[in-house]
Amino acid sequence: MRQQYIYGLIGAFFLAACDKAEEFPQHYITPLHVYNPLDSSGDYAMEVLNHLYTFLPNGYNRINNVVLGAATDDAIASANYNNIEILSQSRLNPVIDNPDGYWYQGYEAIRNVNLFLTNISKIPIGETTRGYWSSEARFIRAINYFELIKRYGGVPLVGDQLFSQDEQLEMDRDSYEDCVSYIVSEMDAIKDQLRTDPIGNTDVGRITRGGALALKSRALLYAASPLNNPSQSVSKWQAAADAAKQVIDLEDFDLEDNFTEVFTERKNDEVILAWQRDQTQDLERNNAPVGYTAPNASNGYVSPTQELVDAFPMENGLPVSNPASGYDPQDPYLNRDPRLGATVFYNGSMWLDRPVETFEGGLDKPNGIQRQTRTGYYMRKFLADFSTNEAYGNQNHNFVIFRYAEILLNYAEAANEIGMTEVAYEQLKSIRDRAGIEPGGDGLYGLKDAMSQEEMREAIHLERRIELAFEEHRYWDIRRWKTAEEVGNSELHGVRISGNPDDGFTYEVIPVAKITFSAPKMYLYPIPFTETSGNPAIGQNPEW
Amino acid sequence: MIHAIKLPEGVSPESIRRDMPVLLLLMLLALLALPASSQAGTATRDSLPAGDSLKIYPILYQRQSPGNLVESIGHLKGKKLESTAATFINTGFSGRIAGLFTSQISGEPGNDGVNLRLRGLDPLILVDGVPRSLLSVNPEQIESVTVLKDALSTAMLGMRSMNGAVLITTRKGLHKTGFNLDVTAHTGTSSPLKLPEPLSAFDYATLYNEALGNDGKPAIYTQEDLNAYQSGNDPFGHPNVNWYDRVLEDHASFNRYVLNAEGSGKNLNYFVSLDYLNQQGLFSNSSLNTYSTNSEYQRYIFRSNVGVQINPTLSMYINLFGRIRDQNQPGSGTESIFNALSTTPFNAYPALNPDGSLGGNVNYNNNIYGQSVLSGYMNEVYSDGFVDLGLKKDLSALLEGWWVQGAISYNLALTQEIDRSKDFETFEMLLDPGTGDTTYNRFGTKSDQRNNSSILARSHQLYAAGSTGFSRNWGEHSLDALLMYNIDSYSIDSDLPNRYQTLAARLRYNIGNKYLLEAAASYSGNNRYEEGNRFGLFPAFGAAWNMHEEDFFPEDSWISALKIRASYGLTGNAVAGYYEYINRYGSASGYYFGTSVSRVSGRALQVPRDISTWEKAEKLNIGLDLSFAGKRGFISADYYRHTLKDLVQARGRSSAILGWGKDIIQNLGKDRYSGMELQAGWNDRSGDLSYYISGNMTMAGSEILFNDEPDYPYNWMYRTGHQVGQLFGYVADGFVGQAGEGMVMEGYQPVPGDIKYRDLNGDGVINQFDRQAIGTEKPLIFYGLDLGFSWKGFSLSVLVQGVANKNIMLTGARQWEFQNDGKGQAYQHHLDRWTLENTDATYPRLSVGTNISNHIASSFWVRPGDYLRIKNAEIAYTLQNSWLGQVGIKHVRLFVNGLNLVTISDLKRSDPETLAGTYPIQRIISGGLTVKF
Repeated sequence: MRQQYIYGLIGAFFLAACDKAEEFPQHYITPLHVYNPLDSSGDYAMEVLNHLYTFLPNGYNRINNVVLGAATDDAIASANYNNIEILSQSRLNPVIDNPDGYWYQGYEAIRNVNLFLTNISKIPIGETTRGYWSSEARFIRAINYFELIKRYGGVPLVGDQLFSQDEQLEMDRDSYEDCVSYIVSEMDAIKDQLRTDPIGNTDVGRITRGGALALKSRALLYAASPLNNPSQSVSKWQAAADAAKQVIDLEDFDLEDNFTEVFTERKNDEVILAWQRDQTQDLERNNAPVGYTAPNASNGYVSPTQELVDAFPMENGLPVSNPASGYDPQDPYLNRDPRLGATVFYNGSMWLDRPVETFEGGLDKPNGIQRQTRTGYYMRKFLADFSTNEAYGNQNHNFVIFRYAEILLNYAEAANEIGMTEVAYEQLKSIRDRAGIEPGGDGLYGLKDAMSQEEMREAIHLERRIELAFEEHRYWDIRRWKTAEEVGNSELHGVRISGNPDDGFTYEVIPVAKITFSAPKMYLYPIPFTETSGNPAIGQNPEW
Repeated sequence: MIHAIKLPEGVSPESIRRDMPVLLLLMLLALLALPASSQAGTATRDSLPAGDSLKIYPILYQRQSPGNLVESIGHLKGKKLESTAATFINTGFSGRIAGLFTSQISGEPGNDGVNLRLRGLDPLILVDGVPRSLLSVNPEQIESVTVLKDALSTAMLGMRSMNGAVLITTRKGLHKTGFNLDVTAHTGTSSPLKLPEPLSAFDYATLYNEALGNDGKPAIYTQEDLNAYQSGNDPFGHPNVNWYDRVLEDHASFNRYVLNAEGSGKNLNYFVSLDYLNQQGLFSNSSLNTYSTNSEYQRYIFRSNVGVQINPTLSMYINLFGRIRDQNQPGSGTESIFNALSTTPFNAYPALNPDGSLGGNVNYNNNIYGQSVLSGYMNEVYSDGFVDLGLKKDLSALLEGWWVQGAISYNLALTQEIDRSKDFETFEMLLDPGTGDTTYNRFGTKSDQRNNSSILARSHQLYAAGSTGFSRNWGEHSLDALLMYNIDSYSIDSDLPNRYQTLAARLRYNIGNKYLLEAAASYSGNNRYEEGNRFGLFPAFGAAWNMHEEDFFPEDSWISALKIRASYGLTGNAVAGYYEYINRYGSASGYYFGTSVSRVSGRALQVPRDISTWEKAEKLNIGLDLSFAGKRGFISADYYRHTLKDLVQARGRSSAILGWGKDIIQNLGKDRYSGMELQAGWNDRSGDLSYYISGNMTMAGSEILFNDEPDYPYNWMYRTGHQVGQLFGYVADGFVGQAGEGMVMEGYQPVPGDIKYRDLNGDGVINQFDRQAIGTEKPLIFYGLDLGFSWKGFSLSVLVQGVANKNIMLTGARQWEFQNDGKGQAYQHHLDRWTLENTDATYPRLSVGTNISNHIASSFWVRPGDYLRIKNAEIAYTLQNSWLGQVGIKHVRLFVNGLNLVTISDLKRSDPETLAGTYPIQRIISGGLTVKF
């Protein structure tokens, strides 16, 4: 009896010890599931492609809550000692964590694309779909190369190669020109396999033929610019002009009538490609003035400068420095280019049903310990129009990567450099017309008549600054124009407004911050130390 | 060097794994069927050799007399833990075991255990031979604690042998005959060792204005504001709330009641224990609530260990354990309240407005008083229990000294959370100076009290072991062999079981107690590694020489025993993660296509951690044991050198072009831990007085032998060659003088009173190239001294414990002024800041918000973390007389003891162990009585 009991116990223990379990988690989705030769819908592969889209360049308040423009003369961070100052004060080095570093991110994107391209042929999804999918992936790879070369100069082109984790690389860099040629040839190769605009409602956000040509236009414009074209070869400008014209000639795009809606309408004629985001109110909460309290609490992270405000012309198109413009320094926001009010909040702008108060002691500049504007301005661009609403609601906030206005400006710039100043006039005029600037008796929208190539270049630079403000253009524009060593080494200003709404205001321009640009080394970022150690063949950028 | 040993052909690790259980089963069944033999040996319950078993130390799966130890172990009697009034028994380990470093970072009831580091690593905890961390138990359960330090002592743990182990052995009632029952009631009070010392509202505002001035900004507090803070006559407009006083009590209660019964007879031995513990936290409760919002901990334990001799050759044991731990905290969470306490200035807002609503404003909209009593409560209930069952058969009938044993253990645990929290609103009172009318601005949103219950974790563990052994003497020679197979399968929630399988053996050979040889090895695997790469071999060897047993050793020597011993072996540590070798696509961030704003899901190949093998350590240990003066005194010393390799770390020099991101994780690192451990003691008795004194000291060093670092341009930037965990930072070099000269961080404009830094590479700027090892690089020293006496019924014991050569870095919101964008707190230690009048300051000039040059890791903030504590002391009186005997009471013991009684440290502003602004460590004074029947 007792013995049997004991056998039972011992037996139970060994049965328990030999329990059957899965050898590994069977629910895991392995490469065999994703690239399944029997899966004609390619559901998992499509999810992989969806994720590849998140490797498109994104923007907005992405660096320590501020926009990249806060590393230029357009704005500063409202908070002291923001990480953006590593860029705006040239404190980069190969060891520091670069707040705009792209070295790892870029090649991670490229590996993900290559893995997708290597396997996509396995699933039976049909040639058209495969053409769309692989072309979209190739575009994502190319734009990641572009993001790399604008930061680091020429980088190694890895083609379709995939690497294992413990590979010891000895990989030299390809030249900037070769990288550009690669991007251009990729765009030429995929442009006819992509969808065309106008695109169906469910596919809005997909990379289209227009997107491919827009990347080509931007890449060739950068390649023709003084930073990358020291000999100022005209043929490079010609190629840039042709590429921009190629987009225009598609006739797929047009300028939107309403400047603000370019950024808040999911589908419109002007946007060529945007990073598609959920409907949110994060932009409003990040950027609107700080004087609004819960449930509308806003953070006002970015303080645009007086320099940017002064760059906007009057409604008649004349610069504020022109005595004929009608500009009154003691009523500075009257009769200005409507884009000013759409780009910055100034004292008296309407928001959430009250005027913005950036005068000393006003709700939005209370002084005291709260973080608040350092310049008397807050960033308004991209925000939906809540001037008469009581509370925020979710809005479309896609980040525009390419839009038609940029293409027109690309065209103007390249055309001007090859002597076609008249073409440049046309582009600026149409942009200013949409902006709401009055054509004037001469129909020149305040532009000077018969500008020289030099003067026209200045006008185009100005127009890019104000039209594309905070869209991550100026930071790169001043580098490729090689003007960063001037505008990036300056004292920036804000406005100090005394008085109150009842007795009127007085405006005083005050210095708020100094920015520095160490030329020439800041024209390119340093390669991180881990890379130059792990792959010494890469070399370091000049002067780092 | 030890290399992998090749298995004979046709024998694969998998075949051993597969066939071993079956083999053992057949063997056991066959053996058990044998009839009981009348001439069988002595009872072998719990594999105890005859004699006074208390003097025989438990080692892994077996026991060994201290005189014949070859392994390097530390030993602590469970009795020693009973004077420590704490919820975790490991609190009592501090200062008592050489090589075992303890640190306590929180005093929160239920979370106040100590972290253990054994020779630099986190040891495995085993209770009665089964890997399980069972530290929140009553100390009366514990017979002894053995710390396994070297390779020889842990080699049988296989895949989990590298970090050393703490072996907890529970009482079985073997040492007491008949029926013994004792009841103890224990009550006491706990109070924080040290609370931070923030500034009053007046000092805060004054310093705030000064800091703004230093930053070139206008003051924000007017003279009227300052006057109001000083006079305190405007408590709503100019509050000065000492938040610590507002929401905390000075002390809290600690109660424990325990009943133990034990005994042993001819065929039965047992130990039964019932324990109830209630430890209250420091939060004040409010009469507004009908429930407790205090942080508190209640624990109920039942333990029953029973051993039965079924027949002369067959014995069995059943251990049962059940425990409920009930932890309560305010709805906002204990931790977040302590965080708010250390970051909220006294002038932030009034606790309550004149109308009774909670104060708050745009900068501070979470009222601390509200968090502590008006946020409801959260309750976590941890329930766990286990059954251990074992059978042992003596097979001396077949072969003298042969036995087999089977054991199984099933552990269950469940964590349930009951959420009864709620959110509250705060209000800012606005006063119209003209009319005197008040209006209120509202912040936050109120919610109903939640009523949710959720299971946070469910786990079960099955441990089974079959072993056989052989123990025999031939004249001077004695041989002891043990062969064991065990499987440990742990499952939590929906994870597949984490399974360890180990085939282990130990061989002990002893010639006349003079020459002792021991070898142990295991072949062990973990199922989280890839098939074919799951099993490893971990061998260890050791030898000892008892010199006093030699003929040449003088018989009448003052030295009564002298032994030298050495061991060497290879140990391992499984670090596979959860099936990370499998290439898998997991969900990844999705995207939004179309005009209708619907999210499409994303998927991506998970970046695998490339961990192909387990971490390994080659361990060398050399020791010496000496006892003298008729064994009244002893000295024991150990030197160890542990060389670790295949440590999991991120590649520091990997190319981004591979596309795998920044952190390619591989088995790369090599570290060395080496040190010395010394123990010495003396005990004696004269007449009614007996006394003892024993001390231990450990010097624990470490060195990074290989760390995959980039090619830095300067030598001082490398961590390789430094201690593991060495602090790195800038080298502070005094303060910027009145002329504003001096090196500060790149991009920062120096202001007089800023910290100056040393430009190590001489390039004229201070940046990442100027960081080097800072603080002491000497090996860590920790020590303990235990002394006591007893005289007639009185007894006293005192434990002093301390640490030296420890660096601490005083950084963060608890140490720096006006952090969190200028909303943070400031402290007494900021009063001695640099000003034009006080250039000989202990703190740099003040600034508002994070100052990028001053508020960075530098040698300025490094302090010695050395301290000396009277950790524990107890006075007791035992009453024993015939009158008590007549009512059946053997004796009554009255005692008073204290934990963390006195701390001596150079650090004035906080306790040297709790720096992070967490719940402070407690001093617990308690007293009680034990009645023994």
